Amino acid sequence: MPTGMTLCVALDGVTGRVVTVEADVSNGLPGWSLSGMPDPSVTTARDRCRAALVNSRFRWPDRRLTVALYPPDLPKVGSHYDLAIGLALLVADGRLTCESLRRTVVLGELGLDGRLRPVAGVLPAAITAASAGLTRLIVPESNAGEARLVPGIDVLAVRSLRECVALLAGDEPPVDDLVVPVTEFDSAGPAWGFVDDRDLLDVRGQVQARWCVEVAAAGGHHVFLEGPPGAGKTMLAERFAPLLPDLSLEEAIEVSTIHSVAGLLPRDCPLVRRPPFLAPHHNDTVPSVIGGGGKTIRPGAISLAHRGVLFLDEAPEFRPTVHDALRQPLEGGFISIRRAEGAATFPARFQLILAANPCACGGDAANATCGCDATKRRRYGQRISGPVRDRIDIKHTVLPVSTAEMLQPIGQTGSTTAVRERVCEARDRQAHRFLDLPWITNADVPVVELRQRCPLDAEAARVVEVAVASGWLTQRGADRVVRMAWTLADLAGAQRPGKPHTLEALHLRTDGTHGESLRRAQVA
Amino acid sequence: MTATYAQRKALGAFGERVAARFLTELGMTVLDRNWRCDEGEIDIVARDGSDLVVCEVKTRTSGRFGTPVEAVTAEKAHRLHRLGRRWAAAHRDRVGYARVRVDVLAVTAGARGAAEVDHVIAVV
Repeated sequence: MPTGMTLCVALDGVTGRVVTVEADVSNGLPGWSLSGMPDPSVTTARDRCRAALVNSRFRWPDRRLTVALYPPDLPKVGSHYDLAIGLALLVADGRLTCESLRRTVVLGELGLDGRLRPVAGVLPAAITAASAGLTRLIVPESNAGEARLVPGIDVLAVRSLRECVALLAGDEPPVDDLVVPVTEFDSAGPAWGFVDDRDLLDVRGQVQARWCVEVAAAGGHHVFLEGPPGAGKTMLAERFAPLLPDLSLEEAIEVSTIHSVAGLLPRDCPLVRRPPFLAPHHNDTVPSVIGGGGKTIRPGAISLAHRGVLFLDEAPEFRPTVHDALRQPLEGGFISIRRAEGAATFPARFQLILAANPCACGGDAANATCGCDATKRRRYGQRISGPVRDRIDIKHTVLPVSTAEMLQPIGQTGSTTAVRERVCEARDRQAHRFLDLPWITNADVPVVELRQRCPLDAEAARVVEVAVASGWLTQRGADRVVRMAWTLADLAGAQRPGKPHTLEALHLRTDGTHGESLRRAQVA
Repeated sequence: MTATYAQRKALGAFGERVAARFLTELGMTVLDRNWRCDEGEIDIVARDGSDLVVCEVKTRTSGRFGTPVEAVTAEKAHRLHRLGRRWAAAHRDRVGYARVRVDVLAVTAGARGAAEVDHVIAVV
């Protein structure tokens, strides 16, 4: 009898490796052996395959079955090997030819009645298959959308094992399909949950805070909003993601890949086109925020927020481990999770928004609702570690809105649509400047390139020098001020940043403690 | 519907007849049937070239209780091999010192049409 051979993909983070599934039916008492470091989720494929084959009216080979997964040293986890194993057995049993599965990657979990169930990670698997030079991909129907995003590979969407076999054998698809359609209870909806009808107009007053948010959106800068409860920090942060421009196709694929691995891609719109907005709670576990989990390392909130916004409300309440883990992604745009059994790297280039109360008691010292002493308040603030603080470009103290401000309506120039237009214009200038270069926003430019390509003029550079010499800025802070100055120039439509832009960047970075107060009236 | 003892016995006998015919058609010689000793029973003893073949026949009417071949465990197969050696010892004059092999014949008797035979060669 022939040996069955099919191809599948093992995922490791957002990258994958092609796995060869070999099956052999040999004479002997019925038995089953599966080699190649299978996880229990793969070992149980035997039971699913058997039920699916029998219920699809195929013969279950009543002999000694040997299934091997190559490469043997790579751990295989997940139920997406089911279909590849099932088809390899059918080839070994002579029901299909090996030729019909040539250069074809097969993904999918088998239901007991022979239906194909959707699996996570189809998009990165499709990318792996395409870059390995394979030409055809068989996926469950519900995963076809994301698989088709990848160019250069034919996608066959199948509903059941019978349909799949008929397709491969070149037969007519079965009309009396045994698979009864049931309502698919899909995975939880998308993790990014911003509601587009929240408009920036809902936030009254807060002229300076609005400006901070606009600058942050324009240049991809991180923001820290501090202030007493009820001042509007959370409202502002929640209205941040809609200010950002749509993701480019490349970015969208990157983001969708991560969401695919997490099994969060909705069926009807497999491509995440809007920047995701993730707001983990401070009580969430560390792996859920930074990534980790069981045998497969899953992306955490910081990776799901890739090319989008990560909002940490009540930031000092997050565990110190979370704060420490933020340093690598803030600097490099990725997170590596290493363990004894293996490592995974996920992209995590997010825009960070931190919000914090001035004190753990939730009161405000200004109106005497907080009776805590200064030491306690300072300690609370220090829970956000220095290294993270130093990577924040915009720090702003959000003060409570006065009654007069509450009553004053905000003009249309402060609406989400108007701000997004200005942000998009500024982003266009950056895109033009960084044409053919890998970065997108001012905040992405690496330090070395920044100094070479985007130097300040003498007058503006002097401002930064003085700030560093006076100890107001670290050297990293100085580089960040330069990036911000460029963003401010982009927003103003200037060719390059001058002294006023630089001073304002300094002002935004240091929460008005240093530099001139150059408040801009964005309110009509 | 639960089959009576007589029905089960009749089905078993039918399966063994089908199996014996199947083996003969393969060119094997049936030497003995339903040989018993204190350790158990051999359904069919046959000769295939130089091999002495101990055949276990399993007859089923449906696959509802698993496939027939599955009903033969490794332990059972080894017991059959031991029985085969005892049969050979008892019939040394006829077979000499032949190599003993265990085959399983799964007979599926459908409601209509011919019975199907699944022949698993040399499980031990």
